Amino acid sequence: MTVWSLTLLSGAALLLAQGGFAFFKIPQKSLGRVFFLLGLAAAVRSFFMGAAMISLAPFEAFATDFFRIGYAGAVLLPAFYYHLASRVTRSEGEGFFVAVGYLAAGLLALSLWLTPSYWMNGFGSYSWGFFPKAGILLSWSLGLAGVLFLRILFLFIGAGRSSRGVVCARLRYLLASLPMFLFSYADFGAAYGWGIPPFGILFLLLAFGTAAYAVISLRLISADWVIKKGMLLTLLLSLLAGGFAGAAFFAGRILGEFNLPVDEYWIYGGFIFGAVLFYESLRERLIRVTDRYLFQKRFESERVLRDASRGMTQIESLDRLVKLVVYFSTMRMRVANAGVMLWDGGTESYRTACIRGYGRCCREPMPDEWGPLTDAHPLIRYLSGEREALEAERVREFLATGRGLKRHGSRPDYDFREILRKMESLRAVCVIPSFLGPQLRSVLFLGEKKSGESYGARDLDMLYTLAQESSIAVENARLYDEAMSKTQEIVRINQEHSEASRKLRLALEETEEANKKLRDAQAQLIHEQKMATLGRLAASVGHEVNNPLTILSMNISRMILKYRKDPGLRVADIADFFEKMESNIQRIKAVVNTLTGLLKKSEKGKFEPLSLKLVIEETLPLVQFQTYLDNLSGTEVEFNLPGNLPLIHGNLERLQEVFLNLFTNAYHAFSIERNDRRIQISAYVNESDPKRIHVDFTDNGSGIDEETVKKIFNYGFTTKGEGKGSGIGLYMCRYIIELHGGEIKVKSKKGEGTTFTLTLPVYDEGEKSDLKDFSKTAKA
Amino acid sequence: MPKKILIIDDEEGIVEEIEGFFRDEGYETYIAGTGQDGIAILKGKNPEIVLIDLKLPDISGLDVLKVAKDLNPSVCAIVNTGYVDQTMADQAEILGCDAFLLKPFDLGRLKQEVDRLSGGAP
Repeated sequence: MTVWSLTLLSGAALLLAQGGFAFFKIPQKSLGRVFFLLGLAAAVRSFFMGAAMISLAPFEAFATDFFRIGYAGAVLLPAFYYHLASRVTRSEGEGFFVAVGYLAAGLLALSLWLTPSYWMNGFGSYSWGFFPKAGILLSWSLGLAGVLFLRILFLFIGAGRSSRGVVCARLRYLLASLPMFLFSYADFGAAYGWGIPPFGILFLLLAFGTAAYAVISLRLISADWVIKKGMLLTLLLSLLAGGFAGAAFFAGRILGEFNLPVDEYWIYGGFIFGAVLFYESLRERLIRVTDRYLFQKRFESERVLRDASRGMTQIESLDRLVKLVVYFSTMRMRVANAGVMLWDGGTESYRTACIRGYGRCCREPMPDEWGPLTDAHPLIRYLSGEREALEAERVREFLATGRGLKRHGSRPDYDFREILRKMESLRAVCVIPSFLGPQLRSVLFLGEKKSGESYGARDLDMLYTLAQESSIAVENARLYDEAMSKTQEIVRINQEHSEASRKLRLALEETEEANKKLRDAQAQLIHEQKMATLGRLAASVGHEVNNPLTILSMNISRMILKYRKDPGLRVADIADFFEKMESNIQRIKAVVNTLTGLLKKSEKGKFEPLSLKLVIEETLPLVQFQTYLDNLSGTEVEFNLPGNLPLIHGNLERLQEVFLNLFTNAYHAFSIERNDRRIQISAYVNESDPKRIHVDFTDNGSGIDEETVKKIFNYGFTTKGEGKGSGIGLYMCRYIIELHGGEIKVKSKKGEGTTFTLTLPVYDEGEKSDLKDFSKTAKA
Repeated sequence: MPKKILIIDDEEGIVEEIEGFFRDEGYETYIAGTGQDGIAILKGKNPEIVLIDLKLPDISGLDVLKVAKDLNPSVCAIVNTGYVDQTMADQAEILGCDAFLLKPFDLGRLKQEVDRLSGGAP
């Protein structure tokens, strides 16, 4: 039984340690005291039962007293627990019953020494060999325990219904500890002769551990380590001791029946062997089990912290960052509701940036209670001044007891009622500030955890760390947002700029188009005017020629008539007709001479805007008529005259004369036998000199030698045979071109062809008021 | 009594030829070099046939035609011109010209028109 006794003794030490921890750490001192007494009672029961067992054989007299003390602990325990329950559930009306419970339990405990009716017939008469036989008072004690536990049960259930959140979670744990306490009393079954293994102490340890978890860990205390070790040890002890006791029991029973000489020490040996062998793996398994079911929260928190940190570094927008923080709070930490307020330098207040978990009201517009908070608000003042997380429960406790909040030197008077009111209106259980330098930058409001648990100190540590870390991220994001908005502004300006330049370009194109149309219209007008002039000329020529023609025809008619009347007519009779005919033929001749004279005398002709294209293209038919007669037709003439060439300023007839000359020269440069005769005329404007048009006049004729090139524009110079060329053509060409303010050059290679390059100034509207002249001409 | 014919034209040679021709044919001929002269003869002599050139130095041949038709609606008015102008031809038509000749025309053609309009013999 030594191992069993040792279990009891070490269990007592554990209970005492947990009770002591609670005594020093629980902020509510009265609760801590009661809890310590409960632990003491449990420890006393455990310790003295163990002590009694050890001393049973050598010192039976001591053992009796030890049993008495242990029993006293067991009898008093329900009373303490009752007291604790009334405290935890804040049942003020229970004071009397608590006192009654204490009185009854105390009397029964004292009666252990006064009456022998607790046990009879000494020890050893029952299966475990050491439990005293139950007397009437033991039954009373157990009855009292039952009554008290029942009362506690009702208290817990009643309180559990009217509360929620942290309190409710605490009550759940306490409720769970109740049956364990009850099971611990199963030990006394032995006193009634029931063959139940005495595992009560193990249940006592479990029950107390659970209660301690409920009372300590759900407060703002980092009790995880103590609780965890306690639970682990308890479970280990339970398994080892339970296993050993069970093994010894069954070995004794079963092997005993077969009268096998199984010594108790063999069993010890075997069990210790097993314990040594399996201890490590058993321990690890237990750690995993406790971690999973009791301390899961912490590991989740760490994961959340890790995830959140990683997430925050990747966030670029403030809006998204805040949403992430709130998302982590609500979804990952499983907080029912959360919100973030951010410092707004512009309005010098804290504005709500994002809230979640407030049902429909979280949509825009923000509900009134989420309105901006100024620096002067007590909550902001508290957070700025104390630089710590604040929990509503602690504020409540502080308001109720004046304790519970750590003191930071000379604390100014904060309006805690207003702070609490604000937190309650925002359904915030806990408020986490976040600082950047001395400035409070953001406030995270967290609602209750969905699990109903309260925020442990570790949670608050984690959240505070996260908040400080996030303040840098928030600042980064804010700067990023600022940069982004600036960038967008620049992009917008750029867009506007490019839009404006696009419109400008469009307008330019339109203007150009309009210009082109105007130029075309002008060219058309010139053409029409020219046609009109030609028409008028033709009409007047017709009139001038028709009259003498009519007279001629009439003269002939009359001569014929005269001849018919008098076939013997003599020439002298009709001589006057011939004279008249002669004079009329002279008239026609004169008309023709006048016309050609007119053309030749147009030197002082009008300068007007001209389309070079028209000038050249209209010269060609005249040339072709001429060359047809010279049997040089079949020459290919290529025009490369862009339609958008600027107009030139010149005299149509004179320029036609120039081109006529050039054409004629080119035709004459071909020998008749050739059949690939080609003339190319191209006009272009060099970008470097937009004020001038160049015309290249190229033939692939016989070409000219260098000597000739030098003299080609000289007056009277000709290579054509006597009587064929006047030597004036190219001289006139140069003269006319120079008259137009241009120049003419020649380039040639013997046998390959000749290129004449003409340069003519572009028509400049502003230069002369020629348009006026032009319109006059059009009217005439 | 020979028929009277008035020739109004500013072109002397033409007038001379036509007058010579019709005189030879036995007509009583009158000539005028301007529109006003022509109108004066129209009023004084009341010719049966009048030959009007549209292009006259003083007034338009059309005006002369109008006066001639006003004075004597039954007068045979033959209009001639040196160049085609459809507008003038149409106007002459409206004013009641009986024939329209284009220069150059020969005397045979003119005689044909005169015969057709005045019923042959002078």
